[in-house]
Amino acid sequence: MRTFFLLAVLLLARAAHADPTVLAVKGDDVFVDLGAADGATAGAQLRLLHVVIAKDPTSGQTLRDRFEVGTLTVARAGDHVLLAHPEDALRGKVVVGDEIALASAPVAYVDPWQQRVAAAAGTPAPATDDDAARTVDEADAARAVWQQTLGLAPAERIAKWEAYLSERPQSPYAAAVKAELVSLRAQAQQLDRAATARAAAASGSLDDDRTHQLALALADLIPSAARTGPLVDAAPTTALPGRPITLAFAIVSPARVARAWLYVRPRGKAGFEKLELAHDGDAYLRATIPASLVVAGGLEWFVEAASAKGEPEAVIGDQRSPRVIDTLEDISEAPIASGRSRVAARLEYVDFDGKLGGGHDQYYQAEFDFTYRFLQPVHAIRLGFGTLSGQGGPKDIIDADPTGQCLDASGTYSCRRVDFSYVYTEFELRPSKWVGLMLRPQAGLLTTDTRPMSSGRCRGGADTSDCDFGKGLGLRARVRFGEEDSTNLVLGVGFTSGVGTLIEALYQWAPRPVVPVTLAVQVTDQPVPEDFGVRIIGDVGWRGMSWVYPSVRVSYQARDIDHAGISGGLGLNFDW
Amino acid sequence: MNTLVVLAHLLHIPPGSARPGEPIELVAVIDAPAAEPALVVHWRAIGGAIWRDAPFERSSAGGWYATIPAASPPGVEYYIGEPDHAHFASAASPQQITVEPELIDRLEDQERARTRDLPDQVALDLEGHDFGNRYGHSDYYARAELSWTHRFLRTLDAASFGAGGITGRTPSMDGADATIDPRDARYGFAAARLRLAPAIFVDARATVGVSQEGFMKGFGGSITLGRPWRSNLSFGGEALDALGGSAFVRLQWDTAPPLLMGASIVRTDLPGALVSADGLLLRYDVSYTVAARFTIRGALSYGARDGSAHFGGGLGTAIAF
Repeated sequence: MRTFFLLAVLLLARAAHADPTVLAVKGDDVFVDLGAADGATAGAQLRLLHVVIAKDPTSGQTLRDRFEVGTLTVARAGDHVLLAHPEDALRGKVVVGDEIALASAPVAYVDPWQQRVAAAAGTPAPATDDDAARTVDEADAARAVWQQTLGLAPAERIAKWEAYLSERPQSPYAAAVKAELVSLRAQAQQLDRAATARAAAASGSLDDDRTHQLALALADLIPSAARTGPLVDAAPTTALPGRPITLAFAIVSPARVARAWLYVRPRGKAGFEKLELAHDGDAYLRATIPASLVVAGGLEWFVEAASAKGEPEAVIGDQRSPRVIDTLEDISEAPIASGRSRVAARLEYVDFDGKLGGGHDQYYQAEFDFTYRFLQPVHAIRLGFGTLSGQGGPKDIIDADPTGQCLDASGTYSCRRVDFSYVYTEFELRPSKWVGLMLRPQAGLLTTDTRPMSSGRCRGGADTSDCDFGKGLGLRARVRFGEEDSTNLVLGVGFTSGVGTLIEALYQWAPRPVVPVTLAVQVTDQPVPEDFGVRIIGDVGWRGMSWVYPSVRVSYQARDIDHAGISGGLGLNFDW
Repeated sequence: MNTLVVLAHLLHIPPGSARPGEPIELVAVIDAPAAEPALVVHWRAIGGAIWRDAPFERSSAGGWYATIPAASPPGVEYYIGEPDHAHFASAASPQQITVEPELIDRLEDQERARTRDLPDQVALDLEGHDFGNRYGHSDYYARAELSWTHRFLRTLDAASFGAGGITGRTPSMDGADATIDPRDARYGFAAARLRLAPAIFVDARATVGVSQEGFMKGFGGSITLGRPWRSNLSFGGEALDALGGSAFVRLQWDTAPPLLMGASIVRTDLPGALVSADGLLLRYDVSYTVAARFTIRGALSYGARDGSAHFGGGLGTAIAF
């Protein structure tokens, strides 16, 4: 402060270019705007002159005069300001503005620095016009800043002097300005401390009014901060699943937030988990949502707060309309899951008339398919290849022909041989854990041979007379009740053009873990669409190893009581 | 009266998240700022070791601003004040600003890690199928392709360039009197794979070359539902001028590591069949990653076009670098 005052009076003195005056008085130290440049050096005597200004009551003129009241002795002298001490009689009587006159004879002043410079250069170092102009310029600049600081708060004055120093680091007043800055900062700190203490004393708690004023200022800068609630936030709207979320809230009305709680839950779940928000820093609340709650599908949250004596109230969101943080799509790849895939091969011989190779109503069917259970969005997809090959015809003609050649009464051959090689894709949907819906379109090459006593001639032989080549298109739909790997019931219906219809019911269970059993009832007219028959099938597997199990199938089928046969098949399944 | 520790009072809205690549600007209002000549935001990358400073600077607009440089995922953490003079958070308990990467960036990072940052691959594949013929005629094709694939790992997931050849024979007509036509092609191709979603890939391919009928062009494409290196379902097709079209549906499963298996139903006219357009086969393939860079493949197919079904197969290898 002292330095600042000195600087200020110095500038005023330089600007005034008037008679020397007392610039400041501090105890016995009297500062005068005379200096060595004016011939005043240490030990010189000064005369203190009191100025009297009076107004003539007659003429109205202002009269001014000076009276010597004592002497001062120069203790130290700068170029333009000196420090003097008054004689004892003058102590306490010197005031700022008193005029001063040099009582001693002026002493010629030689700048030792310039002297050395001149000596080094071999020539005298006269003061140039540029030097003088620079000095005046620096003084003017400093004075201008000083004038700007008049009436300003310490912080603003600090800013101006800092700007001055930044622009004129080489100023001859730099040291004085730096000293002034130190003083100003100390003042500002004292003022802030006092203001803080006043605010705290007024509110009796956390400085509510102070924070409120800050909140208003913040709202001017950030419109989103202009809320009516006691908290403002910029919580994230998205998050990575499985990673905790740190939330922070700025308190803009501390009196309303003695305590606060964060309620959070995975989106769609029942019940919020309650987390107490912790006060932090100047005016903040913070909490961390644990990773366990940051799950796919997002989470919902709201905040309640209570004043010291009040009841909790929702201040951000509420239970009915909570705020939401969406979780980003989880792109992590699930570990390879066992039990998701199956490769299955089945071979079955079906004899409807009980005459095996000598009959006219038999077929074999082989299917080889691959299944993968995606679980979502389609539970499973199955790709397969199959072949059905056999012969069939009207059971009455087959049974009535005593020759066993499937000839009708007119001697016409009435049976057909079919070879159907097909592919299929089955999609399984799982609307619930207990229900599976399976849809299987299939298509293949259908070869029909109407010549008697031929076996596979049309399928691969060169003689294609009486062979009909076409496409067999089909569809099979099934529904499963119960879990796939546990006890379940499957109901299905399928149709393939040129081959026939299949209606089936399968009951699968495992009386022992290593013995999967399937019992099935089928109604079908395969291998050619003629008479329907019924099949009763028993299939027993042996799961000695977890990844493979063979099975054996035995079946009884009949189109009527006299048109029946027993046959069987094999299966092999690989599970990974 | 208690001693007041906090002199200046700083209020800002702690940002919860930030966009990748964009600086994070903290806007604050401060009263009694002169009490603390240096108000600083201390920040570091989440989990980082070194704290850096960003000073609050006064704006002519009235607020105080501090800027944390653009951050990359997972974000930055910060506090304001000094250990004994905290305005917000602390070095021991900093506040996080999460920077969530764009989806494609996350996918790229994930895939780069999985492939051990080996973006290129050279592959050689051989495959063929003998369809047989009821009249004993030849009906087969063999195909070889050498390709170079570069993974960009973005929406444009990969681009390929390669060359190949097809050699085959097929009857000129139905019946025992048919002659056997040679069907050959030499071609080059360019292909691109787009990743439209984390688990949806689309492949497109353009082919130019020559066949026995002169200039040949072709197009192909497929859609893969699921990641190509995991279990998936894909379907697609290809059309080549003189050699006909093909379509397939393929199921792949990864449940028997280190083997990757697949089963395809393929309907194809290769090598430009004339007698029937019903060539249909089932193909089972398996690939095995011998080492980080080296993969071998094998396939077995079974199918027919006109007559009894026959076998085919394939072999392939790929080296990543």
